[in-house]
Amino acid sequence: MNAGDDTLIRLCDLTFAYRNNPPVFEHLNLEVAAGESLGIVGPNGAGKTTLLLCLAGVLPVRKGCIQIAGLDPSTPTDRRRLPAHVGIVFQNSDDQIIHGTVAEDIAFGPLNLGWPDGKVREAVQEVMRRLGLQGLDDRPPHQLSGGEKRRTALAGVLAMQPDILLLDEPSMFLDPKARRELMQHLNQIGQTKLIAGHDLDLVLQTCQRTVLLASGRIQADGPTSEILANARLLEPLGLEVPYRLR
Amino acid sequence: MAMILDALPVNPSYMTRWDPRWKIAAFSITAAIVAFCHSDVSLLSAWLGLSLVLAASRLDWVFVFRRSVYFVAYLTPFVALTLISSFAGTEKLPFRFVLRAIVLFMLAALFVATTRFADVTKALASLGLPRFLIHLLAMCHRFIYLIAEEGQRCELAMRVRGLRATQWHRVSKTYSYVLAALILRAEERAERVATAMQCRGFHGAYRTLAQFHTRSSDVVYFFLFVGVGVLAVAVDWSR
Repeated sequence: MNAGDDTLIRLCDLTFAYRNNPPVFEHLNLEVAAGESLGIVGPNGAGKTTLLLCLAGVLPVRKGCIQIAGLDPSTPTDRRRLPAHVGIVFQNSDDQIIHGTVAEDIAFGPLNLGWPDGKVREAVQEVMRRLGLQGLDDRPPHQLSGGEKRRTALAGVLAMQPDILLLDEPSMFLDPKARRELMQHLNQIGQTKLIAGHDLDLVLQTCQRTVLLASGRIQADGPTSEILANARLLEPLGLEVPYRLR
Repeated sequence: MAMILDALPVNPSYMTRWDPRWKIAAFSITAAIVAFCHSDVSLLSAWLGLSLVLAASRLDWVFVFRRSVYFVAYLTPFVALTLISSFAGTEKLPFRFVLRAIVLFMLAALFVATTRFADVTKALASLGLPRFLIHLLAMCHRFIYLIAEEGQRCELAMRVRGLRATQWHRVSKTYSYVLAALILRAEERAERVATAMQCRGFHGAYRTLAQFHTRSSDVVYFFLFVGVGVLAVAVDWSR
């Protein structure tokens, strides 16, 4: 990142292919500013999850480059530093909640970052309060509802105080009430957010800007209300204009 | 979903306040002592002593009895052997086996009921157990519920699609498919969990929020627990 430049994520000519498969996406160029909320929408197999995994340093990038929070995920040193700056919430919360109780699980990330116990406890309590998880400290994950699991997974990432939050299909498996609550929480988060998914209504309500990913390329990039209102753009890809924009 | 591994609702007692490190040490030594007891008298004394400790630990008995069902099923053949041997007036080995198993079950139930799992893993780590084993234990405890839930969903799906318990050949074949699918899903899940852990900064160290402080009462309980056991086994072997 250059001094004075508020770009927090920069993709240049990014191409990614799984082994022995055609590229998932090719020559992606994208910039995301600090504090921005970006929706990534597209049909199944468009590469939304793959893109988030590349940004989180999970998948190795061989062609093109990524600069995220001033770090380059292709270098081992920077990749090790990524979790302190980039948090990712996966599609299925059960894959992300690994400890036997809610509080212990939320503390998992901050403890891995080497924070002192007192600071970890404060961060855990603060994030539990923000996400309405008070009183669930000692609750085992298998006794949580879908919405509580999703909030626990989100809390586990927010407790690490990352600069950038990557959310993959955040409304998956949620009932309408839990989905609505999640949207409220997402809107209260001040960090830079990238939200990938099929839930266009959620993207509409949480992101100012949206990119449409399809056939391995960015087909459109602009204000969410304009992209998601464009039926001629969405319908050939099997997507529908959200109800409130019709 | 309630399972045998679920934490038991437990009332505060000296057992719940006992430092888990001292508790693990005391229970492990006591279990070893019980394994070495070879007379009916010492085993009966251990059973009586532990019953008193259990009574003082204010457990929720309904939950304890529910979990005892599995244990009783396991013991049934040995109880039958005990009855047969007592009628025949032969060796008392099955009786001692049953008694020893009951005492060990009581010890395990007491430990599980009065210690949070996060405290157990942290205590094991501070007692020097290899990190790999602690992670394995923690992961098993967390994900056994998910795998069991998936298994239950598969079973339900089979039943609603007409699989009947009487169709033995089909049932065994279908269950083997389900088992294979569960193993594959567990393997896929393991990959995803590992990725999620790395994304949260995991590099192999085991850390939890649990904090322990040894008080004088912890040490006293330890020596009481172990001392009585050592005394019993000493008397036992001197006879």
